[in-house]
Amino acid sequence: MRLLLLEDDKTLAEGIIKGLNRMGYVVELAMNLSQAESALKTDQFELAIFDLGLPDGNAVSLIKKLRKAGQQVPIVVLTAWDDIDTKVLALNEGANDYVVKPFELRELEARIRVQVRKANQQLNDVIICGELSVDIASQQCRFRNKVINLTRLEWLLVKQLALHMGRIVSKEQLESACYGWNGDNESNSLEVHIHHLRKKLDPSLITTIRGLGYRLKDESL
Amino acid sequence: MKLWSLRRSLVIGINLAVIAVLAITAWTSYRDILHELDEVFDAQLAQTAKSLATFYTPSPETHSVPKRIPISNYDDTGEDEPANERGPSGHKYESKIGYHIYSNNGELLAFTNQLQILPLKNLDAGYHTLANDAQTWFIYSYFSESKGIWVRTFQRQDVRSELSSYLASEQLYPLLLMWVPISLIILFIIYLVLKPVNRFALDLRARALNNLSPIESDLPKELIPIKQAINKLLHQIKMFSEREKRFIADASHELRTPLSAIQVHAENIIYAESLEDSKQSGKAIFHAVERMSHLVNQLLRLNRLDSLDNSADFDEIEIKTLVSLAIDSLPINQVEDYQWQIDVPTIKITCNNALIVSALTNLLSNAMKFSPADSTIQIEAVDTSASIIIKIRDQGSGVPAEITEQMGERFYRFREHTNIAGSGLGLSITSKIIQLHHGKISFNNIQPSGFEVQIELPNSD
Repeated sequence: MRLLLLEDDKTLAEGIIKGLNRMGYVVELAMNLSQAESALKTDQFELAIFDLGLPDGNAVSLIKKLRKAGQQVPIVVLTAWDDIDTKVLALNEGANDYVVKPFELRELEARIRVQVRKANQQLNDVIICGELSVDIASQQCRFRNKVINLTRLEWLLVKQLALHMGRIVSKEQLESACYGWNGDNESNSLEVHIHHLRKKLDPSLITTIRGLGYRLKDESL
Repeated sequence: MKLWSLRRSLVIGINLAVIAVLAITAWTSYRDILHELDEVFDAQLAQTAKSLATFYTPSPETHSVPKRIPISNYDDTGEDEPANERGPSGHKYESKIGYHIYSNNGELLAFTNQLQILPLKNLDAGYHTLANDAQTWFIYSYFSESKGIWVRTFQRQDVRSELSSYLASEQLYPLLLMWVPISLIILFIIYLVLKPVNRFALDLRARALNNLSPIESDLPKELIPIKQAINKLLHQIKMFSEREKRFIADASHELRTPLSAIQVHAENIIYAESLEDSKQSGKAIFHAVERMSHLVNQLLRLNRLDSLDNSADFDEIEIKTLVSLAIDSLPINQVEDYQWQIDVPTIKITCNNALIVSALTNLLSNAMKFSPADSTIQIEAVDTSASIIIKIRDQGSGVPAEITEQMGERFYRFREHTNIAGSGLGLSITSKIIQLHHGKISFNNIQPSGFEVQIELPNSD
C-alpha cells in the first residue's frame, strides 16, 4: 500500500515515513503543493496525507482542485492548525479526515486504515480470500488457519494483491507499492518475491497474466 | 480633581446666573423705590415744616412755657395688631415723627415728645441726618423770616425702612415665582441637550467586551471628535488583537511541527529494529528540540522588545564598533567563507547598543545564509544630516519584488528558502529593533544579482 505524504518539514516527514514504513506502508514524500499535484497526476496512491501550511500556499486549495478534477484518493489532513474553521473548510473541500499535530503515529495509521477500508468498501481490516486471510491492522497473513511468516516485501505484495483481490495488478503498480520511487528496480526481484510468496501459500492462489501483471484469485466468486 | 458632571454644572451654573440676574434686577428696583420714597418723605418733611411755620403764631409773652404737643400712648411693639396700633389717643408711630419750633434766639416754643433725645436747637436750615445711640433720624430745619421762628420736622429712619422692607419682600415673590418656571425650563433644555451624550455613554457601556466594531450612533458636532477618536482606538485595538491572534496561531503552528517531529521520532525509537535506527531518530529529536528552543528564544526576545521602553539604555557609540561587534558574534568559520567589504566612516550614533548589534548580526547572518560561499558582503554607512544610513548588500539571488513587502512579518519565510534553517522571526525582531529606534528598514533587490537591506536611523545630533 503506497501513500503520498505532503509535508514541508523534513525532520517530521522523515519520522512519519520511517514509522509508516515500519507499519507496512510505502510512503512517497512531496514537500510542496506542486510536487504533490504532479505526483497525484502521474502516479497512483491508496491515500494522501496533506499538511496544510506549505511554502507555496495552503493545501486546501489543492484538495479543492483535485476533487474538482475527479481525483478520488482519500486525503487525511495532518496539520498544526487546530481551529474549527480550518478543519471544517478542509473537510468541506473534500478532505476525508483531519488529524491535528502533535499526534501519535498509531492514531494516524489507524485513520489511514479507516480511509483505505472505506475506499475498498471493507467492513474491517481483514481481507478474506478463500483460505487466505490478510489482516492489515496487525500485519498478519494466515493461510489454512496457520500464520505465515512473510518478509517485508512479501507482506507488501500480498497486501497489495489482497486489496485489489480479483483484479489484475500491473507489475509497475506492484513495484511502486513495494519499492516506492527510490527503491532498487531490479526487474527480476519482483518475480523472485512472487515466487517465494507462491511457495509459502498455495501456488495457484496468485496467477500471472502475461504482459499485464498478477492477480489474487477471488475465491468468493 | 474630579470634575462635576455636565448636567450638574449646567443646572447649578445656569440657575445661579438666573438668580443673580433676578436678584440684581430686584435690588436695583428696590433701590429706585427706596430713593423715590425718600424723596416723598423728604418733601413731606419740608411741607409739614413750612405749614407749621405758616400756621404757628408765636405767643406775645417773651418767656412763655414751651407748648408740648401730646402723642399717643401706644408703644411700638413691632407687631402689626390694629388694636395696639391706634385708638382715640392716636397712633403708635407718633413717637417716630415730630417737630420742634424754636424762636430765633433758640428758645423752644413748641415740641412733640422727643425733645430729650434730639439736640435740634442749633441746626442750620436744610436737611440733616442725626444718629443717637439707638436710632437714626432725618431732620428738616426751616427758618421763617417773617415770623422769626425755626421749625424742625423729623422722622425716625425705621419708619422709612419698615416700608422699604415691605417693598423688598414684595419684590422677592415675583423673583421666586419667575425663578421656578425658568429653572424647570433650564432642566428640560439640559435634559434635551445631554440626551445624545447619555445615549452615547449607554452605547459604550452596553458594548460587549469583544465588540470592536466602530460606533455608529448619531452625535452632536461637539462629540464627533470623541466618537472618531474612540473609533480610531477601537480600530487599533482590533488590528492589534487580530495581529496577536494571528501571532499566537502562527506561534502554536510553528511549535507544533517540531513537537510532532519529536513525538513521531520518539515513537520510532520505541519500535526501532536496530541501534542505527534509534540513533537516527535520536538525532532527529535533537534537531527538532534545537529548532524549538531557537523558536522559543526568538519569541521571548520579540515579546521583550514589544514591552521595552523606547529609550532604555541608549548610549553613544561608533558605528564601526557596532559592525565589528556584530561580525564577532557570527560563527567564525562561516565568516571566513565570505569576502567582507566594510566602508564605515567615523560616525557616532546614540542607540541601544546590544539591540542594534543583534539587528546587524541578524541581517549579516541572513546575508551569509542566502548568498553563495566566497561571495562578497558589503557593509556601508553614510551620514546624511537628517539620518544615518547603514546598507548591507549580498550577492545572493535576492527575492521577488512582491515579496519584499511581506518581509519582516512574523513567521514569514520565503518559500524557496524552506530548505534553509530559520524560524521566520529574525527579520521581525530586526524590524522591531529599528522601529524602537524610530528608524526605517527597507529591502531591495540589486542588479545583476543580490539583495540590499537599508537601515535608516534618525541622527541624534
